[in-house]
Amino acid sequence: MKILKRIIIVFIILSIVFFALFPFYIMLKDSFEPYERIVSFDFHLLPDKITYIDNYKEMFINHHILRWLGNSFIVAILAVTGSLILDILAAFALSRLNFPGKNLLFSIILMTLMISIQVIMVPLYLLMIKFNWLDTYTGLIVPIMTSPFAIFLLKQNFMQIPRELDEAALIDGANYINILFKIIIPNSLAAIGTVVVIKFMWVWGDYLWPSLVVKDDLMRTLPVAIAMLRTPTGTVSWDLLTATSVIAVIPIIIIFMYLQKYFVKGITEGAIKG
Amino acid sequence: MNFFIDFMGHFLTLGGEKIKMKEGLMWITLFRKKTQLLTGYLLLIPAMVCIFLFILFPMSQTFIYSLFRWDLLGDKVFIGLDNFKFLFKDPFFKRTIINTFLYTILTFLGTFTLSIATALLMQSEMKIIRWARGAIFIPVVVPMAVMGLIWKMLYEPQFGAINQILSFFRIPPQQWLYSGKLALIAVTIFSIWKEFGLYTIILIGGLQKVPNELYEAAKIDGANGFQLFFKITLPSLRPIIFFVTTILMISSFKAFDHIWVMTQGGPGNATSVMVTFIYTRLYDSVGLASAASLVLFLLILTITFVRMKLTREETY
Repeated sequence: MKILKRIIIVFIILSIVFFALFPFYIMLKDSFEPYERIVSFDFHLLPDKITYIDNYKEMFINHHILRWLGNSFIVAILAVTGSLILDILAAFALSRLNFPGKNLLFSIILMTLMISIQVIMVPLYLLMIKFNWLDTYTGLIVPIMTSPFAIFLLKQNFMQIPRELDEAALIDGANYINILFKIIIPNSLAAIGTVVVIKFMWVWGDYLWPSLVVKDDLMRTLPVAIAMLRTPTGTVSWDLLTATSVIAVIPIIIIFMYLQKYFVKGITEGAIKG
Repeated sequence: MNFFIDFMGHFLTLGGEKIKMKEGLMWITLFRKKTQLLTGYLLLIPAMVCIFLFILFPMSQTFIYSLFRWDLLGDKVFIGLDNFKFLFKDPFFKRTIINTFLYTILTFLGTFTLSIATALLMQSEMKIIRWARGAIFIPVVVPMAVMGLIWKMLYEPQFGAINQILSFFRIPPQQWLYSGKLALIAVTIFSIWKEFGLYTIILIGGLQKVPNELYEAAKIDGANGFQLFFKITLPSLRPIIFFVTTILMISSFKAFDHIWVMTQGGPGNATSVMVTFIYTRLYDSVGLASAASLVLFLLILTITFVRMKLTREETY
């Protein structure tokens, strides 16, 4: 009886995992098949020839996939770097220094947690037109560079580092920049790692903002470019789409496998607070 | 400033040697206050400029634009609240609101049921279970728009895998994304697939905090599995469930990427939700799009305030 119960539980867990991973399998399988085979009626779980890589070849030869991949990386890495610099400095000022208006500024940042890009995308898009930032990296990166959520998360973490450490350093003649680099940053690497992976994931996967800013084929990031892939007759070209999707999904899955705990921590905290 | 310190210094030296030391200390504190003030503002300025320029300024613009009629090319015409009046008379927008709520409720029910069931099954720390937890988290981290397109392929009525699998169980092929009735459900199933791993992990975190003694005591009293779940597990998870509910609602109100790539709000208006509505009207009517943005903002604000109020009650 107990064994039967075990078997049933294992079976259910396996079906849940199957449900989660099945779409990835189909994506991978179809990326190794020609278009006619993908849209054929007879269902098959294995590609006819695993060595069929024409879809990938076609993407590299006749499409700007390297450019799109590069765009995705440039935008994600620069947005993460920008967020690291701006948000760490802001969080440091808010958690460690005393100056008039600090609480007011912090409440403003807390308030902006509620304003998501969906609510402000109309004026933000018009602002991009006014700045002439459409189809530029500046337009893709700068508006999403700072995130109030990252400032909030970092500030909470910085506050947990004992203040006696900076007092001691100040007496030894350190200045605030020394404190930031020698005390604060080394003691909150976990929080910083969380900000890095979660921001990278957001920017890498975002569709809404790049689809507004970018009209030029060469400036597209991967998600936007993938959504545009069509056959000459105007239908979705599933063969190229699956191959490009594999390329878009692999980096984030690799990062996830190595930095799993940061992802889980960051996304759950992001979900709870944002 | 120097004059002030000198003046205070004279005032303090009146008391003799001891005060001299205090004077020195005051010098240091004043100096530190000044550097703190300067460094503080200096470090905050870059982030604050970004926040003002790219969040707060656009937010105020949303309020202003919602009172104008403007198609990007012509002149802005002030029309008061006419945009809002139009929105609430417009059957398309009504359908959009209904869809948004329907999508939210269905996503919530589906995700929550699947997440709590998975969380209950995946509590153990065995290596295989840990892998399984990692596996169900993969859909959470991959790009929403890309996977939306892959699911669009799975949903294709002619060759899609879902209809093929259903035919094994002798269920007739469905039109899914091309059917006015099923499209919203199909989109919902996708978001359940995309997000359930996240909520499972959050709920597992909650389950691990439920004291084991509670279960032991109830078992001694002869409670069965269902009673344990409804009388102990669910009540102990109350704060977490409440969190999960509000998060799910807010993220469902903001849903866009997958719906846009799968159906663009169609067929007809079957999957038109708040953000797809704003996205499509952005180019032909800034005023209407802004007014709809404010309605969306109001929805998010309401949930946030309810959450703040209820969490405060929970903690006291």
